[in-house]
Amino acid sequence: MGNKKFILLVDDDSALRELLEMFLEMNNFQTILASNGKEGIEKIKNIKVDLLIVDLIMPTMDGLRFLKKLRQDLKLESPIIVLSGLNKNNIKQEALEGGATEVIFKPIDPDALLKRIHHYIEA
Amino acid sequence: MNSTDSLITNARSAFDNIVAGARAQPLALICALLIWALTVTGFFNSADALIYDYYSKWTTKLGSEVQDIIIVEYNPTDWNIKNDDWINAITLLEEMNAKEIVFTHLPGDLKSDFFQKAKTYNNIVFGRKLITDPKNPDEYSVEPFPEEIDNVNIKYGVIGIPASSHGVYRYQNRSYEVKGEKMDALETVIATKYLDKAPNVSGKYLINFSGGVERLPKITLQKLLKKEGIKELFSNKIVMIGYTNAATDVGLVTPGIDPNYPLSLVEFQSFAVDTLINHKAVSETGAVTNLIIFVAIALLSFILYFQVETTTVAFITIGLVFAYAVISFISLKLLLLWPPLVEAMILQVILFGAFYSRKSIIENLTVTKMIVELTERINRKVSPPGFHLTPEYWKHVINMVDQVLSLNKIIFLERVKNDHRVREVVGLRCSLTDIAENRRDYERTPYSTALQERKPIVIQKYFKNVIASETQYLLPLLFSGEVMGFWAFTVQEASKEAIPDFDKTLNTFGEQIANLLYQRQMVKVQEAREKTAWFKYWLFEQSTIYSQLQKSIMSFNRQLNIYENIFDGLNEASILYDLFGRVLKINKLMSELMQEEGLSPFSFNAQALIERLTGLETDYVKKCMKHVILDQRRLVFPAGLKGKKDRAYILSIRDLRYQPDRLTPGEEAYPFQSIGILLELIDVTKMNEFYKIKEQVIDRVKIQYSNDLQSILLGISLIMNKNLEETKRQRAADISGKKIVDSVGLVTDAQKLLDVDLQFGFVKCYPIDAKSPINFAIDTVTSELYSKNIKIKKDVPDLVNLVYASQNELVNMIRAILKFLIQDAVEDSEIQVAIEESRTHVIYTFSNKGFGMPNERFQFYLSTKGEVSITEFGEIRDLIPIIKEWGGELKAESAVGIGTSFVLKLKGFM
Repeated sequence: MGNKKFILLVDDDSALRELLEMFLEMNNFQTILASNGKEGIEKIKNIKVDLLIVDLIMPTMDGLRFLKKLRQDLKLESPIIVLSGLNKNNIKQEALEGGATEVIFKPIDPDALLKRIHHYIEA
Repeated sequence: MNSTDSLITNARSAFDNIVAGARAQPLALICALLIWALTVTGFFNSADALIYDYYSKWTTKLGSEVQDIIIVEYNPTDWNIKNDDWINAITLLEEMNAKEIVFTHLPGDLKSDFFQKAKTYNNIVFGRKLITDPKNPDEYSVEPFPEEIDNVNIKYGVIGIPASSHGVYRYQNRSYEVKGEKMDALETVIATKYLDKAPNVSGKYLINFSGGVERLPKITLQKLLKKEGIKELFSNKIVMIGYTNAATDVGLVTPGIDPNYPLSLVEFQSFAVDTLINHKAVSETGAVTNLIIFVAIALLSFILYFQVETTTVAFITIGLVFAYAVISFISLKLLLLWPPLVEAMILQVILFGAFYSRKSIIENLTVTKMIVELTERINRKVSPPGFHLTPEYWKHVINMVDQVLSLNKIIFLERVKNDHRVREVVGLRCSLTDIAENRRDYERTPYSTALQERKPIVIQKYFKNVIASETQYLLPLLFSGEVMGFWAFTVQEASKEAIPDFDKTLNTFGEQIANLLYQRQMVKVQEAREKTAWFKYWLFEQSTIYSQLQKSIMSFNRQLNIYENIFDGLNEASILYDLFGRVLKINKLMSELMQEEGLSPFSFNAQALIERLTGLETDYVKKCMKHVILDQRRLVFPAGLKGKKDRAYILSIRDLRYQPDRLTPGEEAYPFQSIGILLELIDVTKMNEFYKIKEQVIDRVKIQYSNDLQSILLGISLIMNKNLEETKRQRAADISGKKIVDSVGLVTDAQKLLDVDLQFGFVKCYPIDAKSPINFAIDTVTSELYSKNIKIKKDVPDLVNLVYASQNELVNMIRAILKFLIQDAVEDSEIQVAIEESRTHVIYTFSNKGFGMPNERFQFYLSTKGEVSITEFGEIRDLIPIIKEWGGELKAESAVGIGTSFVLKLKGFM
């Protein structure tokens, strides 16, 4: 338990959030959940996370703002995977410029997602 | 047209001209016969003689000295010559071998010995004057020889001079009639002796005075007697002995001689003898020859005239007249033939006049025919034949008028042609029998009053059975100032009040109806014309034809104006080029757009403009143009204007062609049947927006669908994992199942949204981009912001959900809010604009640092219908119910000294 890596999941879709949580925990990751960027900021202040999986389109604070906040204000260095349903090249570019480590478009095969996560952190 | 066609056309044209010339030949013959008849009657004699004299003056300068004649002259008043002197003189002359010795008079004191001597010489001829018989003035005898002389075998000739013409002596007679017998004139006798045969003249002949008096060798009798004359002077010559001019007192004025120095009789006779012995008599053309000449001139001239341009005919005429003058001179000089010069000249001028008259008549006929045909063609263009005569058409017209103006009784009356009465064209709820006024004479009241007023006039008791609340009107129907008819109607006061600017509106309708009546009249005229030869119109109705043409052109012009207005009013910016790149027509919108772009339409050809608007390469544009013109392809390219980057355009390029079935007879299409190249710059910004809106919806659906699919994939992955707890697996199954149902619902909802046709503007609420209305609204208030130096501070997320609204009304709402805030704001301040997104809504916040107002009053204004001085307040208030229809709400509050803020909450999409 103590060695498990922390992943912060930021997505406004509660169902997806819940399923991802189950999937990551089944694969020995510890998850922290937030429904938007603002909530994510609050969460990250208390716990050091090893990886962030972030949606882009969210109320209150969208993913791009959240990225900028993390990288510019909070100087977070952890890898950030943007998992977006908005499959557009300009968005991908903006996300990468904003501080995303990788941008993955939904839907992605859960195993493939897991491989990408393992690419950055080991469970 | 190729060269063969050109040759055929030219040949045909030349042939037509010859035919035209041939058709005009009777006129030419008439001219020739007229001149000939006048010539025969001597009408031109005086003029002819004047020209002859003038020419003779020139020919006298060209003559050489007379070789065969010498004059021995004396003045009897200076010197008394005796019989012995004369014997001495003839003896000397014989010694010097004179060929003939001619006494042009009988000296008074000659004795018989002189005559005896003269007889022995056999070469002496005496002239004997003609003497009028005192008892019978019409009978002549010759001057007698002295009585004592045996006059047998003395040769003599008659001295006579034909009467002058205007004092000029031009002729000599071959012989004179003396007591019923013809006696040779002295000159004839001398010439016969000299030539040993009778001279080749008959009757009267023109004496050749060429060379003038200077060429006659002369010697005085005194010198002869003093033997000062040498033999060579007299040898083999005819010696003409006579008085000097001074002795005869009155000289003879002849052609080519200075009238101040007239000839003496002996000089005149010497010229006549010279004329005969040297065969120099000038002959004149006879009547038959003249007729042939005149006919030839006339026929050839007309053929020539019809071959050349009308303007050239004048030069040809002048040239021919000059040529006749030269030919006559040459003829006189070389052929000793005097042609009918004056007659030929006058004939030529008459032919010229006749040609012009005929040409003018032909041209006039042609022009008239053209006008008639043009008028008909214009009329056919303006309206199809027969169309205006059908009762159905007029029923349609009167119904339209009724529907628009809500009148009661309506009747259209037309003027009866060539009469001052009117008759019914069509009536609605009435007919001609319902009109109480029975005269129907438009020269009388009430028609004449309406014509004077030229507007609808109120009339009384015109219609029968009119109810009290109806007002009766009569309106003259004028077209091009001419009465076409009248429009009578009744109207209720309420209906009248509903018609804006009653007189003007009625007049506008009246003009249209008058135009239709004119068309109707034209069709009738056309029908009548088809039954009558058009030249009848030329003869009797010239003015009608011109008047009809004028009206037709006016009517056509009106139609053309309509087309031009339509072209100008097109929503597409259009420009029409001819095939050679010249601008034929540009509509108002294109003109404005090009002006805004700083382009001059007339400095850009079609190719350059296409390049400029589309950014395509020159070579590619050239290929496109080729396709458009030769293959009749319509090409469309995306286009843009540098000054309107926010607008999207497409450029349509197409070849505008004549439709062969629309060409009237006589009209020809241009080469390739192409009118030109039409460029249409079509603004597709709105259409783009519609597509963008749907694209945004699709994007959002895609995002949601991707999310749902991702959940389903994760759910399946979890369900299939046997290591997962059963409760979790069940939970994953539940969530996945719900997501599948959501996805199906999502697809159905998306399909409905995509099926909506946004272009017709019936859709009041649709998911639209939440951010762009803010930008559009800010663009509309830039001048207000600038005037108070207020800045807009935006706090807008990059990614915002779509909101349910209407694009235009949302822009209007935001603009009204911004305008209100600008008015309320202090100068040099900021207006905050922010967007925040909740799970279900997008929230717009607009606030300023301004003067504000008590919140209670503010809320009162915002929520009630109380009078407000600020327009934008009213606009905001009017839009609040619409926002509610979208599922949104607007809240606002204000505080004095702090400012005002608005919170607009709109429902988010998905």
